[in-house]
Amino acid sequence: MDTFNKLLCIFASLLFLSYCQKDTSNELMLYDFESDAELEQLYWNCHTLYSLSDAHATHGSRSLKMELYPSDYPGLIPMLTETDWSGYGEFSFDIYNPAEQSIEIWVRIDDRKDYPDSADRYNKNFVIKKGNNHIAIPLATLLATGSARPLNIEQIHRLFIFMRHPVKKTILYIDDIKLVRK
Amino acid sequence: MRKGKILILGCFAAGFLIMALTIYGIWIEPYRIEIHHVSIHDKNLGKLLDNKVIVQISDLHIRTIENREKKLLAVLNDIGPDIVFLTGDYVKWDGDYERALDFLSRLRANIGVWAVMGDYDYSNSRKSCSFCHEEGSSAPTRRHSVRFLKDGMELVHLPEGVLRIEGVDGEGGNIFSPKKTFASLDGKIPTIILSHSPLNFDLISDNINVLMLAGDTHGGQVPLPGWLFRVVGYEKNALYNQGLFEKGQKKMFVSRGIGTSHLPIRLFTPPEIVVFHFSPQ
Repeated sequence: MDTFNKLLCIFASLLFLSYCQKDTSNELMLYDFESDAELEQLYWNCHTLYSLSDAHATHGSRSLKMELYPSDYPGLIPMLTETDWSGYGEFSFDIYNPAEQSIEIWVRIDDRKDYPDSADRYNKNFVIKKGNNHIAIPLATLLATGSARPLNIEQIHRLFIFMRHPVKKTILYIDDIKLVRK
Repeated sequence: MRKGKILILGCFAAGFLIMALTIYGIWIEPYRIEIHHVSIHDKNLGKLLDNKVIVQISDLHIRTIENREKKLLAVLNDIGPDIVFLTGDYVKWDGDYERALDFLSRLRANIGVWAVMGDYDYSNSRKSCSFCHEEGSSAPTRRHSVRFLKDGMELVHLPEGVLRIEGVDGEGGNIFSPKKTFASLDGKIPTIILSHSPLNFDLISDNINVLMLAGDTHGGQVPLPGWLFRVVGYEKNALYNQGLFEKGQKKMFVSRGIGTSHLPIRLFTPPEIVVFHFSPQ
């Protein structure tokens, strides 16, 4: 009986410890584009084609190939399962431009469910030169464009990575979309 | 004792009635497709369409091509429409898109078939592309000849004049800029707007002469008072459950649709194919 009680205590302790264990990894991977299942987690919209590619992966073995056709705002709209970005210091992703000419992409982040106007959300442009580009956005710099209001990083509802009015078809590869701890 | 017997008989009668209504609502009425003839008196549309057979179908919610869908196609064939308008929700939630595409491929109209998407059609974002495009490609689909208008417009040149058909994309379509506006609408060209949701009617100025065709409500599927629809959060049914609505110069017809969602029941709200008869005022 004494042995039984000891075993029971050890078992209960192990259960308790496993319950209390916190995720102490340095990064939270949002999208790695390793499986077809991740393509189901994207908003598919007209003028943008998504496919998995073995080329230009910066994490794992595959990346997302985006074919952006001339239109208003073609690009990547991932469904965000992780909306609480607090506890992290940076949002980052890798983007590969196979063309000779640099192109411009925009990142839009909404902290409201009701599709805020441009002035009430984060909008920033980045020049993507030929080859691989690492984009890192400190979360402390997520300010609404018009009011400079800091975004509520506990309530990130929408993320867009897109081009504005491309005049010709553009191909980009994107990978390793993640949050990095401070 | 007598009161007890009456009570027991009453309970049995009530139970029998509920059972009969349930059987009727699930297995009989959803398959009783009505042809609903609707007259539209409009100076502009009447001149253009008064000798045309114009049909609206909505909310098919196709699981498979079975008796109801086959009957629907047969009835449409008999009607012989010049134009068919489709107002969204062709699939079950995240359901089989192939059956819906198969159905669309069997639609025929002398002039054309125009359509908009509903919120259910975007329940699987990736599969929703198949309504307009070949799989994995930006090329237009060859599966059917239905022309989907995603916040777009087409001018149809008829012998009698030009008809403007405008399509409002369903909820879940344009994630980037979902807010709808009708700023370019002036009513100078005879216009029919296709919209899945009838609530878009309120975004149009009352001073513009347009006809909107909408669906989404299923006529409520069961007859409930408007206030009760509002209580359970179905504002669209509370305001525009079914039928013809007019505000100022604008008009809207809300179809009960064909299929069902949430519960597979229709009670005193049979599925309908709408045939419009236009005449000048």
